[in-house]
Amino acid sequence: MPHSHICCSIIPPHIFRNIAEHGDDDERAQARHMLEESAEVRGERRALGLMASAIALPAGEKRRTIFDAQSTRDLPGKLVRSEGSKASRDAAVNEAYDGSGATYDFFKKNYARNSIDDKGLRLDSSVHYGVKFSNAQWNGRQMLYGDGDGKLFNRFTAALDIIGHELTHGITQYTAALEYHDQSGALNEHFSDVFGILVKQYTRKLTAAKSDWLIGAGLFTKEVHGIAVRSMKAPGTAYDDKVIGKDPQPAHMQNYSKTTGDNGGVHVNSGIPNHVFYLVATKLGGKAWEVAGRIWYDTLTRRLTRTSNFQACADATHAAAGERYGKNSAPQQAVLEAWKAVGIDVAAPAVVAAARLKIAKPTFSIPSAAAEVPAMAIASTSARRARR
Amino acid sequence: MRVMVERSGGFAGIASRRDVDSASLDALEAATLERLAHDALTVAVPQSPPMPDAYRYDVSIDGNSRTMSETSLPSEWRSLIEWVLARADS
Ligand SMILES: [Zn+2]
Repeated sequence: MPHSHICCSIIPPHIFRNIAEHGDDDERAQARHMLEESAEVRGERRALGLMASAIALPAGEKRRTIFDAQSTRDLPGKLVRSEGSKASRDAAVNEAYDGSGATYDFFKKNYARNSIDDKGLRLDSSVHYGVKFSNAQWNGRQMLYGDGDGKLFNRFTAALDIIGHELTHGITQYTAALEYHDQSGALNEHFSDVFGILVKQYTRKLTAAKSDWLIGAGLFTKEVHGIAVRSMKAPGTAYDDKVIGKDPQPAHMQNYSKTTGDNGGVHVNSGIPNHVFYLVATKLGGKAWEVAGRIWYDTLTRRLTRTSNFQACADATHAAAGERYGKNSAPQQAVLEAWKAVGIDVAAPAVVAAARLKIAKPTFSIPSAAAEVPAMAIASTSARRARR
Repeated sequence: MRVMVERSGGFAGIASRRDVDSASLDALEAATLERLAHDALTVAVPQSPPMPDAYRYDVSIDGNSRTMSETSLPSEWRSLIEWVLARADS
């Protein structure tokens, strides 16, 4: 039902992020005030409550809440399990609870990140969303999982990497805020696949060599001729089926898809950076979340912005590897070679610096570090527009 | 009347597409299609930034195309889209 999402179309996620990350008390109060105004106009009282509580920034530890949407599109639904309460008889509830817990633990133990916003945001999930809904989503505030149609798809909580994938969309929203179209969108998808598979590897104690590098293994029913939704090891080989077609992912820039569907092929072209990560992780060997994962985490949380493209990501991972492990270190060398293997040459540091300088000129684009104030201005314009 | 719906995106990123022509439907179905399309066309499609893993729909009614996202889909458009996607190509 659209009403439960409408706040996201008024307040873009990056504003939410900016407020949460950089806002002082006044800014937060102002944001809350704007939310009240726009929500009041639209009668979005429930949405308001959810957003206001997110902005209130409770300092937290792991806090999970699972709701049952009871086959409706009304969110969040009926509360069925909260932190520390006993297991449900409903497998989907327990999978969402355990999976979001595993994801929380993964980011906390490895990268000292406290939840999606790094401030202990409560992890809300709704299961049994819609009727035969064959999808899972992070909707800007919470995870939602469909039961699948039973014909092609099983329930979406069945794979731990899917849960990690969805929660990572939340982390991206609060950090790089990569726009969800074209190359920045494919990177958004890519980081979700990377940390989705790493949550699985970490939880099951699998080394890079032992991992299947598959996203959504177990999601398809037996009717489908396919092993998973995506393969990071061999993009384009996950399925080949008479009903759903063939896995369209490229593994090289030569086969970059120029489709307009899927917001410019964000789930298609993610195959290219996905393969880069696989190459780095298997080259370095051992626990992929320790070195390769660390480089990608540094890149997502500190080096990319809303409109970063593949080239920017290549340069950023290379710089991140150099910063943490040293210039020309084995990790940095692995990063350089992996991007080269998919057709992207990492730019020399001098070129990267020159490109940054160009962006910093106050002409058309606003550097992200200075974006807080304009972002607030956009929000109040939207609120005004909504009142008319 | 000819209505084409393409759904793309979603976690799996698997597109699905249906093309329905009222000329090849029986009278009752043709009337249903025209009513659903008419109802949808009375409602403006809100533009919102695409959200992760939300479906994207490209809907064309007699050659006139619109793009919309699952996250801001008015119920009139949802009814039309669901009806068309549930149909076999005609
Ligand atoms: Zn995704």
